[in-house]
Amino acid sequence: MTGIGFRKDFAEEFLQENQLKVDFIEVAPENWMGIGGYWKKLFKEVLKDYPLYTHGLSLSVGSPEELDFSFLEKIKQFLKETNARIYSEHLSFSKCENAHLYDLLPIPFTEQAVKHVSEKIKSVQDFLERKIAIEIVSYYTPVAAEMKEIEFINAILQESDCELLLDVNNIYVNAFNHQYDAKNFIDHLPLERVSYIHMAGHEKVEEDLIIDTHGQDIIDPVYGLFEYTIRKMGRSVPVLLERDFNIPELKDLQKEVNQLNIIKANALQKKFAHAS
Amino acid sequence: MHPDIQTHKIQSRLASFCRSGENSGLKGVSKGRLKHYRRLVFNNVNSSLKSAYPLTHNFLSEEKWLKAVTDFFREHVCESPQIWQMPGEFLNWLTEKDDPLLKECEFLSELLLMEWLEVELFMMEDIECEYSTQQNAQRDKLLINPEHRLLAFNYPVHLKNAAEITEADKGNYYLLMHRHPSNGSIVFTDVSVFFAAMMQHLSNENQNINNLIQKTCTDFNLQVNDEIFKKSKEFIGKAISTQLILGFTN
Ligand SMILES: [Fe+2]
Repeated sequence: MTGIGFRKDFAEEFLQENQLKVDFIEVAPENWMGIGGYWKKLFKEVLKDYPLYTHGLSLSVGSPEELDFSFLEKIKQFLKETNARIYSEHLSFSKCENAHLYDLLPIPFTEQAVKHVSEKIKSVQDFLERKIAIEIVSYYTPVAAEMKEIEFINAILQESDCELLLDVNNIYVNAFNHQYDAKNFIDHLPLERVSYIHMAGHEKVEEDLIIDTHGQDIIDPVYGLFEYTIRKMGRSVPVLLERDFNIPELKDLQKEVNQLNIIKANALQKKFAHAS
Repeated sequence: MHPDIQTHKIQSRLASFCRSGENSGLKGVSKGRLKHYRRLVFNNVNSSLKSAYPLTHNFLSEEKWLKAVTDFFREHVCESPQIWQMPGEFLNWLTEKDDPLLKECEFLSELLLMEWLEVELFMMEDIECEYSTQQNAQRDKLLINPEHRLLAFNYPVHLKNAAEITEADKGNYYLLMHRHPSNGSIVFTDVSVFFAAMMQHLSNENQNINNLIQKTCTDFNLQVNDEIFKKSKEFIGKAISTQLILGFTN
């Protein structure tokens, strides 16, 4: 299964022309819940044809303060109404002292954070009565880290017993920005928890810094890392192409989707050929 | 590495750096990289505000616009988890603190309000209602589209380019905005004080055409005559065609 991050920028084209064929779409609930009119109508149309995966922005499981349960209730309602297959969120914080920042900030890799974030993820899962998938975000500077990133992530995954949304591009970006080996990082993740994969492009803004813009095509080394991951996992999970800015023609996005399908099929075939 | 630093405090400092651009002693970060967070966060907020208020943004100097956005994001606690609602908080914030920007020119608050209500109407949840497009003896009361806003302005912000509005334009203007039920677009209708009052009555209570005209005339101490009746029916017919009035109900 391969999907596309569904955006208003190409929503009409996507519905009218048959240029991009995918198995599912993904949206941020925040952009489509509690609305009416034109977009509601269009969203209903697209939901007739595609299963929905969701990727939240504002729940902020990494916030130091309490979860916003009234917001979570609305999310729950939205997931129910749209029959969403997956609800995923980011391992980051986007709200602090109750002020939304509308962006993803890195959580300090500390023991305290492991505790408060794991507790929150557990509460969310209890409240929604389903497991959620948490995405490792790209980040540009560590913040007062007491432990390694991989230790931080693994501790949270284990304590909260949630699923992992593996954004392969994010791992590539982080490995580049913080100078570690991306494959080695993936080797140390509990891959059995991966329920969903994201793929995207990025932008190199300085000699030693990549910003995760989702505004470019996927680059070859990220495809390579994707193949490595699938082979290592040895099983298929839904894969999403994220393209948020600088959106090309849909037929060009189709090429990327095709590429992802080919790589996945090959990687799994090799795996099974090897096993037999 | 930083045994005595509390995680909460660090997170607050990072957040407040993103909101203000001022680093209040955040340690254990790469300074060269940190600036990107402020840049990304601020650009996101700024571009959301620009797309909600294109006319205001166009009218103000970039310096004044940026000062307002910067102050807002630093001082205001953005409450909505949905970024499309944040521009509404911007308007409330400017209004509540009576920001000097609003004194910049008299019509700015009207321009901002019109722009925000357009966004809000376009995005708001659907309001279901029952009506018929045919009038009959049982169903003779007009039903106004509940997805509308009626605004009274001192300046023609809905009629003229903001840069061309002058003191000489000061007067009484009435604007009706509604969401078209079939295509979701926002329709702007400039109306006279008489028809504004009429639509206000209809918005308060569904009523039949004769009562509606009668009531409105009473407001203005007018006797219903053929001319008023004809003009009113014309207006109502037009309002039905644009679906400002949806149809008939009982
Ligand atoms: Fe992602």
